[in-house]
Amino acid sequence: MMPYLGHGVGLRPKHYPRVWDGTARADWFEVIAENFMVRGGRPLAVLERARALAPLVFHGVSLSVGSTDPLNEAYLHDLAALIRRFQPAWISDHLCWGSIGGHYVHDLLPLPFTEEALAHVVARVRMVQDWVGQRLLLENVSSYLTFTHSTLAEWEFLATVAEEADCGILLDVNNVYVSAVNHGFDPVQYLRALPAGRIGQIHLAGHSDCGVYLLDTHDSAVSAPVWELYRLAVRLFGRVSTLVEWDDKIPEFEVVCAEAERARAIEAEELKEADAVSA
Amino acid sequence: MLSLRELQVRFFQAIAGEPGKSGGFDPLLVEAVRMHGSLSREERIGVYVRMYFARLLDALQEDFPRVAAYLGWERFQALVRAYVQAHPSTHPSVRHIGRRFADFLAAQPEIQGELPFLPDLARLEWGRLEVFDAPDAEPVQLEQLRRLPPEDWPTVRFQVIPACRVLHSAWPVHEIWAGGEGALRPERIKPRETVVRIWRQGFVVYQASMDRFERRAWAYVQEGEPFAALCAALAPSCPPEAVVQEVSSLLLRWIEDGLLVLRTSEALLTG
Repeated sequence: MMPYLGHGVGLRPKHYPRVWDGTARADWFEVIAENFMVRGGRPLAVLERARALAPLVFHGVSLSVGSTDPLNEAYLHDLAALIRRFQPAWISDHLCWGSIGGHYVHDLLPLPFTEEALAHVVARVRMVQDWVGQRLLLENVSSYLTFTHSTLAEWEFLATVAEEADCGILLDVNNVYVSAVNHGFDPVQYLRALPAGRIGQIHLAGHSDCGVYLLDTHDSAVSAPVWELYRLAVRLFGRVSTLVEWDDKIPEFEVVCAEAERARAIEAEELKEADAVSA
Repeated sequence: MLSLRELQVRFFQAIAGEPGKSGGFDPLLVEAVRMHGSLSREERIGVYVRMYFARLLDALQEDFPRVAAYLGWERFQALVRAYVQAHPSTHPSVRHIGRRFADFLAAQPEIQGELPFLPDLARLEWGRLEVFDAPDAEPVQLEQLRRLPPEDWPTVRFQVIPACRVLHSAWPVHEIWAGGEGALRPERIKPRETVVRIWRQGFVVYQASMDRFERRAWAYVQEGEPFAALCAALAPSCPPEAVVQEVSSLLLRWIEDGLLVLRTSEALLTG
C-alpha cells in the first residue's frame, strides 16, 4: 500500500529548533498539513530543512471528507501546492467531518455509519484523490457518541470506504481503543475486520481517563492497553510505518523518540515471534 | 431519521450555536445519539461542546496573550465565547480564527469604557501574527545600492516587503505591548497618537514607532515614488541642504531593517 518508512516522529513547533540545527533525527517526520498552508516565514523554511533530514508525510485535519458541504477547493488547491513543493511520501486525513455551512469546528466529528454516509464519503474520497493526484490514507477517529441510525459497525464502514474509494487506512490504534471503551465494542474484533493490504500507516498516542469515558488528548505516553493492541496490529498487518503522536504537553524531542523506539522494539519482537512460528 | 445534512447542521448548532431557550440540546439530535453505559446522550454531545470551545479558546489565548492578560482569564473566556458564537471559523486552519477579534472588542461598549486601548493592542498582536508567516522577500542590501551610479539614484524605486504592516492608533500601543502581559495598569495608560510598523526580518518579528518625517516618507515609498520624488516631497520638512541626507539616513535604517525590495531593474544594480 505504502512504502515502509520505519518509526517516525510528529513534528511540532516546539521541536522546530531541533530541525533547524539538524539535530532532530527520526526515520521520518509527519507534519500537520494545515500548519504549512502559509505563504512564507519560519514554518515553510523549517519544513525545507526537515525534508533534507528525513522523508515527510502530510497529515491533514481539515479535509472534512464526510461533510455535506462542497469540498473546499481553495483548501485542496493549497494542499496540492504543498504536495508539489515538498513531495511527501503520502498524505492522510480523517474519516470524519469538521465543517458545515462554511464553518469549521476544528474538531473531528463522528459520522453515522449508514449507507448514505458511505456513498457520500466514497465519492468524496475519490474526488480528493483525483484532485491531489495521489492516494489518501483515511484515519479512524476517537469518538464519544454514536448514532442510533447507523447500520454498519465502524470497522465495516472504514473497510468498505477503503475498498470502494480505493484509498488506504491510517490505523490509529489509540483511537480504536478509546472508542472501544467509550462505546463498548471489542477492539480486537475491530482490528481483525480491517483489510491488511490497505493499512498504510499506524498511529499511537496517549489518552486521558475522564472516569466515565476516555478522551483522546495526545498529551501523554502511550498506555499499556494501547501497546497491547499495537502488538496485535503488528501480528495482523506486519511491518507498517508507525508514528507516536504527541500534541499537548509536548516533552523534549528525545522523549517522543523514545516512544517511537519502544514501538520499534515491539514491532521487532512481534515479527521475530511470527517468524519463529512460521519457521 | 435525520439525513446526513440535517444531522450535521443540528450537530454544529449544538456545538457552536447559542444555547437553546431551555438550555438543552436539540431533541432530534439527542434522539439520534445512541444510549450506552453511564454517560447520557446529552453528556456525550457535551464532550464535543467542551472540546470545541476549549480548542478555540486555546488558539485565541495563544494569538492574543497580552489582550487576555489585560482582560483576566474569566472575562477573556466570556468574550471569546461571545466572539466565536458571533464569528465561527470559516477557514480550514485555526490560524485564522482571530482575524475579527480586534473589531469585535472595539464593538463592545464595556471595553471602550474600561480598556479603550485594547482593540488596538489586539490589532498589534494580530499584525505580528500576520507578518510571521507572510510571503518571503529578498530585501535590498546596502551593498547593492553602493554599486548604484549617482546618476541613477533619482529614478530608484522601492517596494515594501510583504511581511510588513503599519498600525495607526490613538494609543502608544507598542509601549503597552512592550510592557508585557498586563504589566501596565490600565488607568495609567494615556492616549497618544501613534503609528507603528510591524515587520519580519528573517524569522523574527519586530515593531517600531514611526515619527512624523518617517510616516510621510513611508507613504511615498508605499506609493512606489522614485527617490527624487521622495526628496522633493519631504523638502519642506527639513532644511533644503539636509533633505537628501535625511532621506538617505532613513533609507539606510529601512534597509538595515530589511524592509525594502527594489522595484528598479536588477540589471541596473548588478551590471
